[in-house]
Amino acid sequence: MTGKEVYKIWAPIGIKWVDWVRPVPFIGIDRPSKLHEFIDYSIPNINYLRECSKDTAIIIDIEGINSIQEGIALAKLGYRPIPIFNGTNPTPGSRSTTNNAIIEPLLVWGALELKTIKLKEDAPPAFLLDKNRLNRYKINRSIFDNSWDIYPQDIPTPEYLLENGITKIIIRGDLLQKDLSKVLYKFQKRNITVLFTNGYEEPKKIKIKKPKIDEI
Amino acid sequence: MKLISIPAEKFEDYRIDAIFDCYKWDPQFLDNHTLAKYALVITKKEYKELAKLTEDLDFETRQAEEFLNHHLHLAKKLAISKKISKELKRMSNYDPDRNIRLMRYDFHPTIEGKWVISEVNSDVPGGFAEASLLPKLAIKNLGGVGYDSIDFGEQLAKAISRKIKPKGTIMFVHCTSYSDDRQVMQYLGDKMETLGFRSIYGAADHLQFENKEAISILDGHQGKVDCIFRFTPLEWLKDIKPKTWDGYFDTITPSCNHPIAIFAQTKRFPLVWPLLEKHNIKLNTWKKLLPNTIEVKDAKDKEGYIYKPAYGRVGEKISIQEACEEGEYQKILKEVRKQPKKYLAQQKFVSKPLKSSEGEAFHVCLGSYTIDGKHAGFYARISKKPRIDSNAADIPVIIERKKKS
Repeated sequence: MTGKEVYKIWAPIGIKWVDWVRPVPFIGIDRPSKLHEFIDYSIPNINYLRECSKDTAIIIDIEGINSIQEGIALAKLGYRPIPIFNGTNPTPGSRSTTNNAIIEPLLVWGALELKTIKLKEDAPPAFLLDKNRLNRYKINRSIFDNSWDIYPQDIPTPEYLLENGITKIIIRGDLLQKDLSKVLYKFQKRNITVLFTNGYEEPKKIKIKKPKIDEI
Repeated sequence: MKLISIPAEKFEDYRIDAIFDCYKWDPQFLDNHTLAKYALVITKKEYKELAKLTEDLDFETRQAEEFLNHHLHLAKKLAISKKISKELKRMSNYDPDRNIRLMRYDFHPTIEGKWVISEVNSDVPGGFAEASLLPKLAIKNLGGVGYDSIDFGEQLAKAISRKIKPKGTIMFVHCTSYSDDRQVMQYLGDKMETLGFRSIYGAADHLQFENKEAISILDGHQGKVDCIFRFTPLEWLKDIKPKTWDGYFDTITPSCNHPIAIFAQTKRFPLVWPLLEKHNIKLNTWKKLLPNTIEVKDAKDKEGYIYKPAYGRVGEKISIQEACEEGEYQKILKEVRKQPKKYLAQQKFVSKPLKSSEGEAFHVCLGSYTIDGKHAGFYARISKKPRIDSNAADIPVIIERKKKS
């Protein structure tokens, strides 16, 4: 499948939330930059949710591969997985801070899985992130820094979520990353409840600290 | 000039084709599409008029910057940061024939039926694929006949090819964490590869300079570079530590753009015009098209002036009250009071919106490129607000063919 074909499965025309699917890794599918090691294509169990709630959006912020696998598991529960990965690949032959390319074969696999799942048109969104996006460590200056951040413009506004009946956001991750915290502070201010789960425990309500003025 | 709709039944496919075939990797910003549902049609007459004005502006800009380069004391009013100012004297070896000079002038139609310009993107203009591939895609979706377009990328690629050796290596210097910067670089990099060049992608600190030649230290791609294509703004280079960026100023490796671009990049450029005119540098086209620009302190008692940051990008921090978000206007005024030298005051113009056939009104910013003094194409954005900022949508510019009588 081409990147465009894979994208069209993740972002079918005319469906709610899919305008936010980020194209960058789909474009990478047509430009393979490295060979991928063995990837586990299994679908995990979701332990922190029993069913799909129409008033709840989810943000998965774990390893990119697992994020897509969990996105498919959530699709089986009734959520619309929305990949918002936005990192680029280095010039072939360069080492980089972040392995963004590793999610490309998973997106192809996920597309094939999605084709077998019947999702409702009004399915609430599960935004998929890669926690490795913030890997900025360079052993030396020559390394290509393709780390990336999530910004407010990358997801719908709080107003859009509220207009579409979303009043809660569950973050599923190891911790609340700094960039996501900055983005979600505005959602909390608009009275959207932010909950957090490590994937094993029930989501618990959290209070996001106000970012410093220059970070807002 | 008019807006015509991309047929509604074709729009979603048009958007996907723009993403995958036209390097439009950022199709969404907050709740808005960044791709307009329209094409901007200009007449042949408008095209010729704009091309002429753009070339005239460009001639004046290049005359001015080359003069300032040899009379740096005149550039003080530009309030260029200290760190960059210190390096400007290195540019005395600047040779326009060796480098590629790329600029984009932003035109706006006004209610008086005239054109004004709001700025020149002198340092790192973008929008390359939108100015090259998108118009062709739009024409295809409009039935394929009746319109022409200019392929900006084709002209830029040719200009670069003329100045570097065949099969040479080009480093596309950009902020590597931003995919929206990479999409601009990737378009041009792919284009150069089709012409036999080698494209590598790196950050500003992936270049170092030996004997004034640029050397790549990018992992896996170390060695001499034959051309620097820079998309990292010059004023951002100064923050790189350790300081490895000073070599950009006197390198003999062909650059696009060379740091000489800084003089016109600051929107305080008009503040040195009186000094330039004393030295017979003509700026008549600029003066005709740019609204009156003065120091912040001189605008205190004047009506109808707005504030702009000297190094603002995509319309940010411009004090057009009706276009500002809640609280933004007051925040800008506070900053202007605090740091007046980092701003300028400019007479506000009233943009004339274009109406679509559906009755929606859009303000237009029509960017017009030059490469080495020659007009090279258009890149436009439209917005419902008079300030063209990140919420604006890209729109392809196509040229109406004369109907046969």
